[in-house]
Amino acid sequence: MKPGRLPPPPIAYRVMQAMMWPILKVLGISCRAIYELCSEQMNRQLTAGEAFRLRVHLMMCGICRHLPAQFRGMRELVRCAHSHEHGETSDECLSAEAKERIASKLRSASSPTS
Amino acid sequence: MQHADSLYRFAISRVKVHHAAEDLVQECLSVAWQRIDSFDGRSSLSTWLIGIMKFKVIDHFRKSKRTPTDQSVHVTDEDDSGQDPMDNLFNAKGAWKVDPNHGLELLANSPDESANRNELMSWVRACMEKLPDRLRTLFLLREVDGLDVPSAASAAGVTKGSAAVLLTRSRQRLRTCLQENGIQP
Repeated sequence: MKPGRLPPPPIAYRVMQAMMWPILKVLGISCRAIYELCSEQMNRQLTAGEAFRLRVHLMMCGICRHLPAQFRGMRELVRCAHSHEHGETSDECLSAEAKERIASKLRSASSPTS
Repeated sequence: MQHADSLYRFAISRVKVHHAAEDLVQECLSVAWQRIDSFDGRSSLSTWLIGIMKFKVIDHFRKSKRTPTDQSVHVTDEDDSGQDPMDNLFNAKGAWKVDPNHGLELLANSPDESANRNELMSWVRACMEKLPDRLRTLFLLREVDGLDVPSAASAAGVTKGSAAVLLTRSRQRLRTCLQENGIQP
């Protein structure tokens, strides 16, 4: 499903946007700006002004309210998917030849001290 | 050598190149051999080895990526259509064109439950594989390895200025991919 085929936002949101978008845009708290702030929040601590803009928008926009939790959840999901335990689903292995080569190099590296 | 396969799988999942992954396993085991005295047994041996491998992978990216020179090149070079991908999500007024919560309800409500579903983990990995190399590398270094943005940018070969934009783009692509596949309760 392409983004264009995802369902449109609820009607209540569209009505709210139709009335409020000039104010939101002038204040720098459009949904797009807030989406980018939510992503930025995953990179660094927001400034007091940014955090305030984010709070104000999330208080009045129900559709954006879950964004911070979604970003955090996505990070957890990606971490989990790439964790040692879950990474073990692959059956790729080092070739016997590579293992022998590595073992031989380790032996030769350790031989002067042994 | 009993941990070599596990280390190799970790390395190949990050660097994608067979011979580079083999070299990393060798380097990792070599470092572990030299520093075995510092292994205090508080974690398992495999966890300790994976910890060393993470640093080796970061070093690998630092050495292999070209030095960033022009920020604008790095911001635009991942865009396949020339159109800002955010334009798919937002209209000119900055309002959503699509429902951002569709298919992601479980993610926001119970991420722990999501993480326990193997099928979902496969989808997440598949969605990550769809990211362009540079985005995936940057995203993994930041989100999985926990590097700060300047360090992740440096290791991935992008400028600090473009890193935030590229990370936002990675998150957006991943979100869209997960939405397409639907994380349903």
